[in-house]
Amino acid sequence: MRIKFKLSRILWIAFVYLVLSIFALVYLTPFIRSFIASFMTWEQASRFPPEWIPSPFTFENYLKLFRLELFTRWILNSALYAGIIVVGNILFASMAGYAFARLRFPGRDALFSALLALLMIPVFVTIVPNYIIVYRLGLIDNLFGLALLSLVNAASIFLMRQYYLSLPQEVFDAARLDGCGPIKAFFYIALPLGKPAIGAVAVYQFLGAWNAFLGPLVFLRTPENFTLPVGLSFAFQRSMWTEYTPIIAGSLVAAAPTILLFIVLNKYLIRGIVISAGKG
Amino acid sequence: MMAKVVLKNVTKKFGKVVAVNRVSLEVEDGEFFVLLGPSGCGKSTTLRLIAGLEEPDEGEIWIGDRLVNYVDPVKRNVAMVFQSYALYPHMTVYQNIEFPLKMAGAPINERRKRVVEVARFLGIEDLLNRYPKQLSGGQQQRVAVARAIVRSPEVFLLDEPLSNLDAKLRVKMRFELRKLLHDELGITTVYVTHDQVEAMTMADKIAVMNKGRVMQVGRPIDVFERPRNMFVAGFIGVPPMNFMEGTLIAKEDKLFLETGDVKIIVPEKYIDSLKPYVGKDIAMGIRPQDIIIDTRPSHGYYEAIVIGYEPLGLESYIHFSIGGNTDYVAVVKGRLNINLGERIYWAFNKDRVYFFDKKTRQAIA
Amino acid sequence: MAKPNNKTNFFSHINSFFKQKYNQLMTMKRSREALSGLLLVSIAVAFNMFFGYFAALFAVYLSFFKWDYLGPMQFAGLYNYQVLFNDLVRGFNGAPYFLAPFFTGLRNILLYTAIVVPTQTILAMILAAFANQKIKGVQFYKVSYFLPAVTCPVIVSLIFIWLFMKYGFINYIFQFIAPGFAPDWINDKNYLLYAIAIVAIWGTSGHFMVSFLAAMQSIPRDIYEAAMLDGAGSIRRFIYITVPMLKPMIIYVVVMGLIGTLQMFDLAWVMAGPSGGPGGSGYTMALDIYREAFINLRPGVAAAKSMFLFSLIFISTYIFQRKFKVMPR
Repeated sequence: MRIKFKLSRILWIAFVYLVLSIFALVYLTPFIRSFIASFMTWEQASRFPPEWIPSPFTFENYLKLFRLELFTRWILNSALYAGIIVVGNILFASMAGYAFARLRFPGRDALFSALLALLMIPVFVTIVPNYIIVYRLGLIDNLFGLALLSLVNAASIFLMRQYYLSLPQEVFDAARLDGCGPIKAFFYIALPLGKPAIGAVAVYQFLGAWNAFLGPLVFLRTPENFTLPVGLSFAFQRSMWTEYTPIIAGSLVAAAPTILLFIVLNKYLIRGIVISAGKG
Repeated sequence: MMAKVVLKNVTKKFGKVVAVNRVSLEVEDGEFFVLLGPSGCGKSTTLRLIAGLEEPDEGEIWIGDRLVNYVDPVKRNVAMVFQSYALYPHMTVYQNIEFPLKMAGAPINERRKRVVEVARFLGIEDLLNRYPKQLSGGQQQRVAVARAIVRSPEVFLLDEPLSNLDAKLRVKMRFELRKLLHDELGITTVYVTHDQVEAMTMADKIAVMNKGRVMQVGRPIDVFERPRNMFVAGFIGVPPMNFMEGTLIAKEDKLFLETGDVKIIVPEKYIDSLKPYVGKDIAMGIRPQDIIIDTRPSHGYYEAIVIGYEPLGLESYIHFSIGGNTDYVAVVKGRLNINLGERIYWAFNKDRVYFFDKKTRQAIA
Repeated sequence: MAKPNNKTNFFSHINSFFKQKYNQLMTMKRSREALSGLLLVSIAVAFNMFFGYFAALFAVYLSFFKWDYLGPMQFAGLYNYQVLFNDLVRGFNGAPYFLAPFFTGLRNILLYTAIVVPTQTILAMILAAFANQKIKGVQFYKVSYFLPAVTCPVIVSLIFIWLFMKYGFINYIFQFIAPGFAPDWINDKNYLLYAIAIVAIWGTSGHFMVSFLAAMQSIPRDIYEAAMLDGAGSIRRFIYITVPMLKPMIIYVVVMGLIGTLQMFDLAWVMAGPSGGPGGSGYTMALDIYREAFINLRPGVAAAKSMFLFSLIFISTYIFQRKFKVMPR
């Protein structure tokens, strides 16, 4: 009886590990295959059955990437775009989040609800009008013009407000009693205290901006101004390299920052995304 | 009468911590058995072992005539009321109570009949369509009890069910639970609590536990009158028993306990039992209610200084010291006109005194 | 007796002076606070209102006009919606893809949504249930499952194009499961949409699994214990306790899923190409809106189509929430 009991337990746990591990493989294998293939020649990478050890081991794919001047430009464009978005969000979302959380002004709650409701509008409704607006402003094919749209994401404002609401009221009251006006209070108190939430906003916005595709596709016109995802898809569709392995290598380069960021910060990222899901 | 629940040398470890240490108990059929002890003493773990929510590392657990060590809790036919009640928040009161019957496969008509019957029995038939979060603490508890009795289990387990209720409700529910489970249903019950008043008023038998071990098992009156060790003596009774510790010395043909600044005379009837302990350290236990206080010196009374005074209305607690760091409590009826630092005189009821071996903490007499 | 009078006058004068100043200060403080507040939110609100609400309203406005970006805008009433409607009618009556692109896009995206949303939701829930068992190393699985979600969908598609090639890795795996089954996913109009669907499920189910897992772990353990003692085995506990208590998260996952799948663009753009691949089998509504706006240069029609898409998303998520909340158990 005891043996049967223990055995069924062990079998069940083994089964659970088996299923979970199979799916871990499913989610990881594309990355692993790509990583390996990026060091192969296309000749070898396209063989069937697939091979697992690059022979010859070659950096040629990566070299091809960087020989293309455009590729380096794409990386820089993506970095610049992500930088603008991160800075913009940190600055303006923290200001707005603080104000919505701690200050009283007419229309505060109505404005905030309106901002939140914005998240419900699908991107396809606003993309064409925004294109027209930015076109009229003469900022098409310009990273800054593109950045205007997502400079202060409503989700960032929501996050900052939630965070500031969770801070004890006493800190702000003490500042008031010390003669700190609301704006001074923002710079001396709210901003330094807001570091954790600001960090979260920075990370999420970086991920969003680095991986953005539709916006850059619509708002950037010349290949020199593309961001990395747009550039790579462009390169693929124009068959810029007759082989596919450089595209694989390029994909890995594009994915590397986000993957590394995620592996380092995974605990916080997952927790944060889950918490906002709970509020949704 | 065959015992309904039997534990034989049951041990349960969590990592290095031994939560339950070679515990053996017997609960008779229909008995209301209380596991009493401070938090962390292993009583809840013991209850969960009976329920099957934990697995014993050693020992045997029997329910009825079945060895249930390896029986899934799903099949043990044991019901439990959790400290948090653990009601299903997404189900109505009716569905909560119905659930065990549904799992057992009873047809819907029978289920309805039985649920309504049990609800009426507990006075909650008006609440059947409500959700747990709409109910008060007392109502939630009744639903938990209803859910537990609806399928007539063999054993009924309760884990500190009254600790989340306010004091007045607690007193009421103490009485009602005992009446329901023991008098009306006659179900074998194992009840866990840290509140000795609950234990003393509700139990047929109490098992006092500490640090994973059973310190004593007995009827409430036995555990109170004849504690077998210092822990049980000090745990039961409010205010707790006074322990006067010191060395036993012999002078002429009398025995004295040298403690603080005082030499207390050992009453005659204990001299024989205590003889082997001359020269050793012992503790003398006196309940606060058995200490007599006088403001004037009398023959046979000892001296002490008042270090505290708590008037409680019908009685008062007098804290006094007999030298050193000692702090003892006496209970007197009514009030006493004394001030801190004053000298008072005390004596004790010679028939109600206990002696313990200071090292082993076991009772000597 | 003048002195006492002077004294009282003097004190009451001081009193009212301070009262006045205090009121001034308080209102000044409050209006100062209000001003600062408005100032701090100004940029955030301005940007969002402009590029959000104004743009949306402009889209509605635009849908009633004929325009080519250059010349004047001509009021066209319901003309754009007529174009849309005709396209749907033609498609419904069996017209091929190039005569009824919007219908093709609609049909494809509905099929795609019907495959992806239930699959990713159920898969995520089951995986979360497995991960919720008392096992070690859950964090490793959480990280592995979540990794696809932090990667750019375009990048993911580029990698999967290679994996889906006729002699690629996916067909290699299929050899072990269903020998002989090795379609040319990207170029075969019968399989392209399924390939895209697989990529979508791969990319998002891990994210939802983590969400479900967190929700499951917030269910108090003693409710499961009570269910155990009530005679519910592990499968029944899952059905009667876990799933009902997960309802809010299920709603969230499905709604997020619907919003994402109905306007799917990136995957189709890369894997099927801007014109939707062979026979338009990878063409989506989003691709069609893009084409209308930037290739056909008919922003008015594009705006009308985006209104249609918006309504579709809104109605489907609304219906789901209503129906699911009322569901028994």
